[in-house]
Amino acid sequence: MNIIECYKGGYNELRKTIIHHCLNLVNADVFTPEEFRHLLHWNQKLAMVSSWEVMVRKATRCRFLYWHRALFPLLLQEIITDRHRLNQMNYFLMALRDPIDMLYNIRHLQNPQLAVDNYKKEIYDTFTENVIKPICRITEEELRKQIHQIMIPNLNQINPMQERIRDLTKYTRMNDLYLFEKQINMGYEIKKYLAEVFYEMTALSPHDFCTYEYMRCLAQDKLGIVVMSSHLPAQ
Amino acid sequence: MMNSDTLKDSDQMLSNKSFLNIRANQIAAGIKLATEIKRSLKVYLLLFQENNSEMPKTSFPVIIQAIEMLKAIEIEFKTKKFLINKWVILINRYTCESIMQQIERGMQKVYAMKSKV
Repeated sequence: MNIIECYKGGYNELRKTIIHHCLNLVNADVFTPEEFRHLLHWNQKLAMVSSWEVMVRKATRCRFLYWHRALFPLLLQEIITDRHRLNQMNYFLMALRDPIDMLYNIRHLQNPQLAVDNYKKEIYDTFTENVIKPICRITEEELRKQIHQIMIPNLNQINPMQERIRDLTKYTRMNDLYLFEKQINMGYEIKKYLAEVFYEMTALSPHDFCTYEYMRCLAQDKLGIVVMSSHLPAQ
Repeated sequence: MMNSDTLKDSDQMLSNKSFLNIRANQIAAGIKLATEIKRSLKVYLLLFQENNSEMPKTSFPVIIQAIEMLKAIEIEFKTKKFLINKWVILINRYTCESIMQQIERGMQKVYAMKSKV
């Protein structure tokens, strides 16, 4: 096979090697430095375009993040505080999925699935602790604050002209998140959390059931979340 | 970068060499951008790790943005996979043709040198 034949038809690794060897044998009498530079540029372009899928995969995979797992909680906290980044969280979660392919190749354990499961568990825990729980707590806190300001007469009222009002709908209206094989709907997570808290609090102090009923109504009105009724007898 | 909406595809364009050249450059630019972002991010993270220094909070948005950009590039390529593969065949043919023309010019020089000898 000569160099001309290598350029006819498909381009593969063997052909690439032959072309490389042939170009090593070319001297300055055949091509001017300018021509040779062009030739090298076209060859590079040919190699890049022919194997673009492999190159894109290599250039965009984020397997290295596995070695910086300690940063995940901090990065997730940063994402939830930035309202412009909330709906882009799926990109970050996609990147967290990349080390899994690498983990399937480990040899120090009898079964690499163990390492994969441990990694997934770690990520799920980090996600719950740094995304789901803080968002649910903020929502509860905000609802509680507003209701208490109405129910407790001497409590300081929030002045919206001086203090910034938190917009919680950004959490309830978030796109579905995909973490490994799980689909997470933040609105549903908040709803589940509030239902649990309202039930427990009503069971603990039945005389205070009214507060939680108001909070339930406020959640529906303000956030569009229909929190399940506790069905506990009122005192 | 890979915005094919600005350059609408039609079969007429596939015979246009400048269109193929633009597409080839776009593919190359996408790959180069992703490689650069990944390299910079890895170096940035490893420098902090190597020096055992604490990462400033201001660097978190930058790290997140870099990761998001990498994944956005990946998705963009994936969604346009069909279109890109359609162009790749033609880009290869066009590039090979240019290379062969260049080589043939070089071969003529070699034959001329041989005939002198």
